[in-house]
Amino acid sequence: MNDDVNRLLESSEILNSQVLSLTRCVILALLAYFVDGVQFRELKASLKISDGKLISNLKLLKKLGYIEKNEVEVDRKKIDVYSLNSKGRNELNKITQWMKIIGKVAKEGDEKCQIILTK
Amino acid sequence: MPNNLDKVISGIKFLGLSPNVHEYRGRFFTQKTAFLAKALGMEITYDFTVYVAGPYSRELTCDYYAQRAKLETLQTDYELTQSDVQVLEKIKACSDIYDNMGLMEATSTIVYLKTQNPELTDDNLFVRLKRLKPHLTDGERTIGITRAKELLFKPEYLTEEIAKEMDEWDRLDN
Repeated sequence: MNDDVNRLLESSEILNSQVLSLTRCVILALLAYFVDGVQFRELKASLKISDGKLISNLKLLKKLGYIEKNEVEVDRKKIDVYSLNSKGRNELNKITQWMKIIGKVAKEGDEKCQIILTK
Repeated sequence: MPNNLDKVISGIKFLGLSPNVHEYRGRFFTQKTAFLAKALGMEITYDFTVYVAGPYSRELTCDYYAQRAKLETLQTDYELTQSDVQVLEKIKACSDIYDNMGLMEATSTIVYLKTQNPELTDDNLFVRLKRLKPHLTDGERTIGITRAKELLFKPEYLTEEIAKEMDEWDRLDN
């Protein structure tokens, strides 16, 4: 078996499939980039999703232990600010490694097909 | 060669701010101040993004977490140049942007948009800001545009005609 294919299968087993949704992956990536934390309203504006959908995704990520929620005062209003913790960062690293392997396997497959197709 | 954080600290010191890295507010104003200083002409090489929680620089964040005490005690060897002081005086003249985080967010975002695309009209700026930061109030957006214009104003814009008109308005005030 091709090493990359084997790595893809093995790394798929250690991923938490609950995180693998577009919204949750983007939330984790944004929180990894904005180390200072991101306000709920900023996430909502950027992701363009409903309050309910955002809240349920954030709740799940928090329950899984990947993100932290802190209440801060912004112009006399209490605002929730979310940040990524080390467990979340580890999970995100696993996802990015897994994606790299997917890219590698897909590219290799594509290149082999091209050779066959051009013959 | 002075590093970027030293320049940011000197600017913060000049403006009389005392940021606390442990607090969201302290980090917020540090980011926005560094951005405004760079946008108005201070030689700071941090890259900023305007999206999500922007203007925001990841490199600046890494620097102040790594040198937390330095920022909090405002330790810096960098001596502000004449041109730096001019930039910071402009920011100082708009000190109300430090009283309201929404207004600071609006102003700094407008400065970002305007420096990227100087042709944008006030209406375009308002619409773009509303799309980027829907959580800000219309008041913050409107005052933000005015503050951004004040910050981006250059002496060469003051033509004789404008000076004359302003003079008439000043006389009316008196």
